[in-house]
Formats: sequence, structure tokens, C-alpha cells
Amino acid sequence: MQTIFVVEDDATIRNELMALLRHNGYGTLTSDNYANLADVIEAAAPDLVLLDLSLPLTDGHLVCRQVRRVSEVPIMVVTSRDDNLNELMSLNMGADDFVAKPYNPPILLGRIASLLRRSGAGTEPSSTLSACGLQLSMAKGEATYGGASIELTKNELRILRLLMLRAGMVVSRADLQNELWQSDEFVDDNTLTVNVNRLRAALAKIGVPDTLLQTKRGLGYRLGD
Amino acid sequence: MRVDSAKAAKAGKATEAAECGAAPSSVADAAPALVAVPAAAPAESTPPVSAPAVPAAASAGAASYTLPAFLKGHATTLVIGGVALALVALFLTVFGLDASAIAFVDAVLALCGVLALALEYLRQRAFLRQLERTAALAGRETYLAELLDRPRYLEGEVVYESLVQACKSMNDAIGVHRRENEEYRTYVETWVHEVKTPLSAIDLLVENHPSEIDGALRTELDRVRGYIDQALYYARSSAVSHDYAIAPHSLDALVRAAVRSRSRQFVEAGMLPQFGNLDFQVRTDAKWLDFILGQVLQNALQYRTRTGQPTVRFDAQRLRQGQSDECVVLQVRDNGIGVAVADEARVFDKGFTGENGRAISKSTGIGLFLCRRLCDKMGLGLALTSQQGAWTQVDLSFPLNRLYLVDAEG
Repeated sequence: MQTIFVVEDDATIRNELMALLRHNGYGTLTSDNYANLADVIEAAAPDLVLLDLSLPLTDGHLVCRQVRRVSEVPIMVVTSRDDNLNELMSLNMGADDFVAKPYNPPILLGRIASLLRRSGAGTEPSSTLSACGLQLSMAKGEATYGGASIELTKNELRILRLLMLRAGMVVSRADLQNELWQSDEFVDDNTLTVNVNRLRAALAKIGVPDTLLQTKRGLGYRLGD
Repeated sequence: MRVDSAKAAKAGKATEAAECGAAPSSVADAAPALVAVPAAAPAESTPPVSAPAVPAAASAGAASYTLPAFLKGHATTLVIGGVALALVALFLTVFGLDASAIAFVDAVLALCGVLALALEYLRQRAFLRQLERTAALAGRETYLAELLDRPRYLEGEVVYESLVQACKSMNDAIGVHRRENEEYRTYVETWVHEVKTPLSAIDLLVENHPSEIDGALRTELDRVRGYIDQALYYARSSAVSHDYAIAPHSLDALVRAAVRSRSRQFVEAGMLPQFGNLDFQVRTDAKWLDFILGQVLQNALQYRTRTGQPTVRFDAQRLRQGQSDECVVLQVRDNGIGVAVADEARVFDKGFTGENGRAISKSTGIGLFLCRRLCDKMGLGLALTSQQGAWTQVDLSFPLNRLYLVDAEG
């Protein structure tokens, strides 16, 4: 499992960020020993550091430089100070990427994955979702039900992922459409219907009962018994 | 605008002062002049009273300090001098001097008087002409005094010192406001950065705790973010700051990213984006351009058609190939309600909301105004055309000739 060291002084953000990372298959570490952060990080030897710039007792840029002196660990600066000067300074101090707050969580995860890939730090996290007896492997692009697997298209994957994340809840058509748009597939309402019907047909092939993916007229779709 | 009105006021007052002010000063002159003319030493006696009239006359218009004007201003002195000559003649006649002797004495006295006046005219002319010429140049009022040669006579020095004082206090006042403005801008930037921390926390909370109201919550969050960005860019656009970096970017990627990050609003409005050939490289700051496109798309969403499928289409083309003003033009065209012909020219004015804005109460008249300001700073062209009830098209042009960007990149 890949480990990410989170440096963030806002407690809510720190906790939620770590929860988000854990949900997505990463191990998390943190510390509030801001005075000796570089040493703590070196000792922990994470695969990636998520670093906020505004910290008590020290400064993100300073931490960045200190860590860089002793380690080649990828550093991603995540900050609300999103002006060009800060970005430039961060990169000069040895950061590998710069993400401005407020960030879109899926995009943040995408950039973390891509930075880890570039740095060659081991394997991808096992991002397998499961709900209602279904397993979804994003990496393989496969859905599994009762031992049978089927390969899904990119759009079908995205739709199923969102439905499984909110299993038991009604997911609005707008939310699904929005999800598809994130991959530059600017589909309209009709295309969404077509994609959902294809997904339903695909799931039927691996023995998923018809009732699992329900259409809620005027509201959206719901995955559940 | 400030400069213009100040100048108009000054000019108005000046003309008034030039006419009304001349009379009392000459009367005051008169008494010493009466003595001065025969004494042939007016230099020390004319002084302080004529001083206030001088700058007024100077700023009234081009070259108002001419010989006829000078003589007109000294009419009382001339009259009193004449009377004095007559009295001397009368006095000498009573004493039985012969006519030619009297004429000689009067002629000598008159010559002294004319000489004194001529000297005074020439002495003042160099300084006052320079003052007039300099004051007529627009935008120099804050350092007017520094452009003048220090005059070498009493009245001139009084005027000069007063000008130096006035310029100094004007600059002090401008400095105070500039500093306050700068502090306020810094505060807005800090505030924007601080408010992003709780916003990020909310984003993560929504992501980690899925619920059925996610969509609605995220839509509202997007709106908050939009308003916050507007405040940030407003602060940045008004400052002398150069917080942008012009670099080559793929227009296609910029446009798609701008649409994607606003996907929720698009989906909710049922708006469909269409992409023509956007395969061009343009030189711009990516964040600033995203903000500008955001404002344009915001308008397209807000003023979309309610009777059919709302669309917004992106096209790009290269114009004026091979010429020095060659550029890539991005056209963003929606099929919305359009803009009234009467409003078209004013859509980039601050606070202008027009017919549509009044019908849809959310308009602030800030969006396009900010776009224009940011485009001006980056050296991009921005234009809007429309047909009411049919479409609106915004053209953004990116100059390819890097010479156009020298300022922006400097």
C-alpha cells in the first residue's frame, strides 16, 4: 500500500483529506510536530507528501526545501495561496506539483495517482469498489458479480462507480451527466439514457438481477435491492 | 475622469478670477504706483496683491499673459500716472515754468513710468508663460512645480512656493489613498485565500459523506466559488500588480477545461457545448483566461433561450495571416436571448446591466467589465456582437505577434 504524508493545519481538512485518501486505497500519515516536520517526514518515509503552505511555526516553502535536502519523495503542494508567485516558489523549492484550493477531490486524486506513477513508487492503489454484491475495479475497467466479470466502457464505468458510491440512494440524472462530463464527454440527456441502458444490458450478462439498477422516474437512478 | 472635472473646475474658476481679480489688484496697485512712477522704482511696491491674480490668469487659456492684457491689467496705474503727470504740469505752470520745460519734465517722468512697467512686464513674462504652457499639458498637475524654473522675483517666488506646497499636499493625499487602496486589495486577496480553507473542507466533507443533496450542495458551492473568484480578480485587475504569466497554451485544452469545471451549471441549465476546430496555440495566462471564459459562459447560461435547446458553440480561426497584427480569434456563440442594439456598446461598462439585467435581477454588471480590464492587461482583444432574440457572440483575440505582448510580459 502506498503511504501519503499529509501536512495540513486545519483539523477538518486534515481528517477529511485522510479519510478521502484511505477510501481510495492509500495509507495516510500526519504529524503536528511542525517545528521538526522535515525530520518527521524523513523518518516516516512516505511515498508522497501533501503539503499545505501556510503552517504554524514554519513555512511550507521552508519545509519543502528541508525535505528535498534529505529525500527525493514526491511533494505535492496544496494551498489556497494560488498566485503564480507561490506556484513558482514552490516548484523552485523542489515541489513536484501544485494544486490550488479549493480543489475538486477527484482531480486531486487523479493528480496524486499520476505523480506517484511518474515517481515510479510501486503499484497503483487497489481501487476496488463493492456494493450490493457487485465489485468494480477501476484499474481493470471490470465489473464482477457472483464470480462472473465483464469489461465496461469508460462511460459505463463512470456511471456505475457513482451509483455504487451512493448505493441505496437516488443519484440524479444531472449528477451522472456531470460525472461523464469530467472526462470531456459532453453528453446530453439522451446519451446518458443510452449509456445507462447499455450498462444495464452489460450487468444482465453477468447475472445481475434487473431490479438492482432501478429507474426513478423524474429523479434519477438507484442501485440497491 | 477625476482629472477632467478637476481641470474644468479650475478653468472655470480661473476665467472668473482673471476678470474679477484684476480690478481689485490694480486698485491696490494704484496707491503705491502713484508714488512709484515718479520715483521710478515700482519693483518693491507692486507686489503681493498681484500675486493671487497671476496663476488664475495663467491657467485660463493659452498665452493669456500678453502685452495688451498686461496693459489692460494695469489700466488704473496708467490712468493715475496720467493724472499725476497732469497735476505736475499744473503745479509747474502755477510756478511759472515755461511750456517746453514742463513738457520736458513730464516726458522724463512718463519715460520713467513706461520703463518701470516694461521692466515689470519682461520680468514676469518668462515665468508666467512657462507656467501657462506647463499647466496646459494634461496629467502634469501632480508635479507641475518641478517642471518650472524657480523665478527670480518676489511675486514669482510667492506663486512658485505656493505651487510647490499645493503639489506636495496633493501628492501626499494621493499617496494616502494609493496606500489605502493597496492595503484593501491585499486584504481582499488574503480574505479570499482564507475563505478557501473552509470551502475546501466542505468539498471534502461532501465527497466523503455522499448523500442525495450532494448535487444541490455542490451547485451552491460553485456559485459561492464564482463570487469569490470575481472578488479576487476584481482586486487583481485594479492593482498595478502583474500576477499573471503569459505562456503558450493549447486553446482547445483551455476551453474544454473551462467548460468541464462548470459542468454542473451546464447540466442543470440543459446547456450543450459544441466544439469547432480549436487546434491553436495561444499566448495567455491560463488562470486569467479561465476566469474570463467563466464570465462569458456565465452570461450564456444566465441569458439562455427558454424555448429550445440552449447551446454554446466554440470556434477559432486565424485572422490577418502574415500581417503584423495576425491573431487567433476564439468565438463563443450562444443561441440565447441576445442583447438589445442600444445596449451592445455598453456591455463592458462597469455596473451596466441593460434590458436583460433588469429583467433578470441577478445581474451585477461586473462580469464583462472585469473581462475587458483583464483582457486589456494581457493585451487580448474582446468584442461582443449580438442579435436580440437570436444569439450573442463574444470574440476573444490572441495576438500572435509577440511584440503585442511585450508590455504584458514585461
